[in-house]
Amino acid sequence: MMAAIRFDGVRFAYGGVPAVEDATFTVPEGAFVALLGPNGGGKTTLARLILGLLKPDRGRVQVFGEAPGSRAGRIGYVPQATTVTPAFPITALDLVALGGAGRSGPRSWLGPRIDRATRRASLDALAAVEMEAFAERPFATLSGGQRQRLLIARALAADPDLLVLDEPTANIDPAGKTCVIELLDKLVERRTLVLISHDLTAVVPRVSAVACVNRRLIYNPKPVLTPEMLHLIYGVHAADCPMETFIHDLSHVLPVMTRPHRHPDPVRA
Amino acid sequence: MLEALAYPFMQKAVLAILLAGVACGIVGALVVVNRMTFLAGGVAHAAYGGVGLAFFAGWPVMLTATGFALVAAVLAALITLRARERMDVAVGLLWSGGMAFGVLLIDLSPGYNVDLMSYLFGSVLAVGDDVLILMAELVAVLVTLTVVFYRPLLSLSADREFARVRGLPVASLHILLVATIALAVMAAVPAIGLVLVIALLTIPAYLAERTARSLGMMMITAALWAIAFCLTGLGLAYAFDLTSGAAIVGVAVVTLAAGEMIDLTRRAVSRKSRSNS
Repeated sequence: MMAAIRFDGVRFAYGGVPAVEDATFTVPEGAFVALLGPNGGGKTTLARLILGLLKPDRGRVQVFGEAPGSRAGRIGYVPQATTVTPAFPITALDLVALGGAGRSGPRSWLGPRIDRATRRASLDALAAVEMEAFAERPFATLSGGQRQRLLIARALAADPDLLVLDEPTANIDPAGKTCVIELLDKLVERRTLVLISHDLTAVVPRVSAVACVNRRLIYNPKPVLTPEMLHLIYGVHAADCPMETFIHDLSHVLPVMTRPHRHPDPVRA
Repeated sequence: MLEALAYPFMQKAVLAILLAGVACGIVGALVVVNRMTFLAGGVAHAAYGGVGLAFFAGWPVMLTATGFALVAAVLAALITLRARERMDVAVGLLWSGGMAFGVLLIDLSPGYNVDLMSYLFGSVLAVGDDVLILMAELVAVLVTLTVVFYRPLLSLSADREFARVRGLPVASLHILLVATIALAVMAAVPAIGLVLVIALLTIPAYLAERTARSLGMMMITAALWAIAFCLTGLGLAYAFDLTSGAAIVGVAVVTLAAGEMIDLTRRAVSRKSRSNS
């Protein structure tokens, strides 16, 4: 199976200050990776390297065997809802159509009208996030959770093979958060997902691998957070420190939380 | 007032106003949603360098200023692309540097005796046929560019990073966006002048943003607001012998202030009725 993402000894620094150092890992196609780490730990830098928005200072990034820039058509990106100004004059359908545009070649971008294929794909994407009833609603009138679902629909409209989600549950209420997590559960069926979060509860049931980044990166191809990963995120503490107890407890609890859902055995039931 | 329309200079003034309104409506919407008001001001003031160059070299003023504004816009776009967070410095440089360049060249021009105030504050009642034709050509180019590149510009304006991820040529689109500002500025200069054009690029678009459901509708509504301000301002300038550019901006500012007051009052009344119930 071809690797969806491959990092080989990647280093990236902002003005000489390293954000990511010597990152080496491979994400197979169809994986659902939770990329965790503290604020400022390098999660967004890593995502921007995957998306081709940043070029590594050293090492190599490949997406489906090529440089990310040449795989733009296969990569979807879901930023935080706050990246689109709430007052921006655009309807839900028009915003989603910006994700699907260009499917029939670069010329389909030209002109003011949305072509038929893009319109169809955009309506399907809206239906996938259960927002088809909101197609003609202005972006400004939607709630935080609805806006986030809309940005997921915008990414889905291009039918990407790899979806990178940057803190999709940040800045939305608990109901909206549950809705987004349920949606991610459905999306993982057909594509590779990378979910960036500083929130450990983002390790939703369907996650198949975990990567922790705090300048250094530890990748676990299993849905388990090891004590080493937790120490990378939270730091190393003295044995009698309450933080160490917290980390110890988490490393016991999270592996259980992150195992895939099992359906009840019909024979035993 | 209507009898004034019988005069050819007034007919040309109305035509110039319609063209300036369309240019400022379309580009003003892009300026406002991209939060580029300051950059637009910089490009407008830099165009004065082109006016100075035209007088110094003896070239046609509007054409030279248009070319100069386009070069300044592309330079500004390239600088802001490389260091968007330092846009303020780049714009400051463009703003004062362009004007200083123009003033120095005019100082060095032998024996000029032209009223430069018309370029700074507009003189719509004195628009000639050649200027009107250039304005129409600029507006035709602007409308064509906006229609053809509407969705890439929409994508750029809504979420620049997403546009880059989707493989759109963001750098080229940014240059196109800033170049359209230069074209709109030059299309509006005869009506309102380099110094005051920023009002026509921002106030109509700001008012339009409140009700528009799409960027296209915002452009159309902003153009209608701009034309309304210009016609009212022109009427006042004719009736009371005022500077047309200043009268137009005065009307726009008073309308905006009145709109804000009505909004504030409406909100206060609704708050009061909610607290009473």
